[in-house]
Amino acid sequence: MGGHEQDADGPEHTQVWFGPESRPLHGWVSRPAGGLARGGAVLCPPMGEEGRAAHRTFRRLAEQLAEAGIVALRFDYDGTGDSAGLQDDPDRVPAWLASIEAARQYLLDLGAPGVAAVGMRLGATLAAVQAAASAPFSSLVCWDPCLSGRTFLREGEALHGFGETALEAPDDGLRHTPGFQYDAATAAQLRDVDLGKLTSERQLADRVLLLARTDRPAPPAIVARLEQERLETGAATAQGQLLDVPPELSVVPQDALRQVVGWLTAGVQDEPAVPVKAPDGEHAVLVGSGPDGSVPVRERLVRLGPDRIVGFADEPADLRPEAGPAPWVVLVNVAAEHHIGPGRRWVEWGRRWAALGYRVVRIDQSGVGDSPTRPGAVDDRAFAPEWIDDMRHVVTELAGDGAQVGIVGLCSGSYSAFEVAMWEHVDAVFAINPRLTLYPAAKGSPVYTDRRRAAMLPNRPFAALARRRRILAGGLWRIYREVALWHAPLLVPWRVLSRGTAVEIIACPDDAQHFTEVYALRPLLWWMRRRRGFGFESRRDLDHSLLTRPAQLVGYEKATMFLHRSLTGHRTEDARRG
Amino acid sequence: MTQSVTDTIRGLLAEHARLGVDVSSLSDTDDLYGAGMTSHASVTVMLACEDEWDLEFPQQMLKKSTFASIANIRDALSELGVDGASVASA
Repeated sequence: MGGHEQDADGPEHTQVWFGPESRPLHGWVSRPAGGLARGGAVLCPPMGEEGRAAHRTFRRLAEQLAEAGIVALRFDYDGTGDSAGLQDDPDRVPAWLASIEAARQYLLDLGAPGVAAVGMRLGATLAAVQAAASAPFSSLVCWDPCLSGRTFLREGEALHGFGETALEAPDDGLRHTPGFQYDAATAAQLRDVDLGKLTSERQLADRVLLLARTDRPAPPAIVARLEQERLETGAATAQGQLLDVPPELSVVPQDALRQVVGWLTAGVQDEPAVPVKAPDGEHAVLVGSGPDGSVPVRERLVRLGPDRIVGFADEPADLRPEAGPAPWVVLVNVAAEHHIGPGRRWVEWGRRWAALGYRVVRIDQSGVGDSPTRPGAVDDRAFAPEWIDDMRHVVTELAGDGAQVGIVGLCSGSYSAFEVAMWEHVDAVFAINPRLTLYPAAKGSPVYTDRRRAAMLPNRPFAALARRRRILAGGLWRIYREVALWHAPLLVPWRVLSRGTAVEIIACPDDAQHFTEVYALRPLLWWMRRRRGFGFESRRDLDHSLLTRPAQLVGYEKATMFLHRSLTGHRTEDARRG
Repeated sequence: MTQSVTDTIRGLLAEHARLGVDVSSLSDTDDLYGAGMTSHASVTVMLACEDEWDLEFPQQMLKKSTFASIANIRDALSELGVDGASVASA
């Protein structure tokens, strides 16, 4: 379970840990073929939900820069993504700025002859602030930058209230944005992050490219400040399709990507290509599972199955093989979003469970996140047929030492958990908001396969109608399902339960009703609930995408209790008490 | 005074709401979401209002309905003490 990822005779992409040893930062270095580079670039992603949406774009950007002869480091700020730290640790803004500086230093240490920065949204604002505070970059791309930390936070708060999953923010002193929350101190620090107010006495870069949305012009204060640099401007085309949609629907803005790569490449075309060192091989690090880096656990990248899909594994720091194999918990990616989970909860849950004695792996199925896409397949296609085999390989490989395996999933991840439990032995499935009626995988869709065992696939007329009239099709399907009982989603957990798998479902009312509304099967649900090893709860404090803090807290609490009840092979004292 | 606040709101909508129709064709009570304003566009409108009147909408006002019509926006501004936003002063 390890190794580099390398295109034949092309760039090499290596997962790296850098920055402070006590609080490692996570990134991927994309190194040009032959290890020769004309320049370097740190890629500063957007923050929060926008960062999830831009993950694929930043991966493609790193790959294309490496192909163009620039060594690129895409990374996660402290307390974000796969880096160490919690999102609600104190002093977030200084930690994020320090992460940018550490990324720049890491590339310089590898031998990059100069370092540019590409920042998107708040990432651009932070990169500019760090340049003003420290040293100019060789080039700086401000890709649809936020004017300030304040506008970033206000936009997020408004989207939390206005969004499709709008729920009231609790009065807990935190600032709530979709999926992510920030404490008052961080909010105050964000007010001081203002691109328009950066002193003109500090140069940001030798040259600057501002990409502004055509449908939302850059704020005048940004333009005014950047005009004091050697500025070029361009259009951040298709930014709406990247960020104004749920992350699973995001589309890589190809034209803007080409523009950034072309502009950065032009900036180094006269520079000689110099050798840059290969990063250290992929290895394990200790990361804190609690506040301020407390209770460390061991984390490493793993590659699983014949397609070498990527996951991040957490294990107790003091794992004792003589005590028998510790149970594995698999956290599955949601739809086509990468493995950090909603509000980065998969990362923080996984580390906390590792501290309780479990081994945990959060995975990207084929074509998603950091995993490879199978030849002939397309990126980011939810419910890809190859996911069935991915999950089977994951479960059989993890169970290879006799360990118990439990799976935790949200929405499509819950479907994947049920699906693999119909093929392989799985000890426990914790399903949050499962939707097992798969319109996107119906006959005629690109991901249709007759191999699925845990999906209820609407018949072709319903699926065709759903493409035009989703609500009408859903209503008609539900009426039909009252008599066509074999399409009832409840049958899936029943079959999984019958195979000896413990199952617990927690769902928001909209998702829960799929399991309760077929009248003829209500006695079955009643009987299942009386059985040991099955739980079912409809909860109003859950939202479908788990983007609210109350839902995230409930999800963690319920999942932890379920794992403690269901995975008995090996647990710490803490876990037994839980 | 109310007229000028309303006019300013209309100006901000024209600039930021990305409506499918001309804002001048909408009455004060017409549904802006029905006229094509997305959630993301309404966030931009909210920020523009905050900049225009140098205020911050409190958490409890951060909901879709606050920005669902010109009248609703004006009512919210009135609640926040913006001069000339109250209907009574029309």
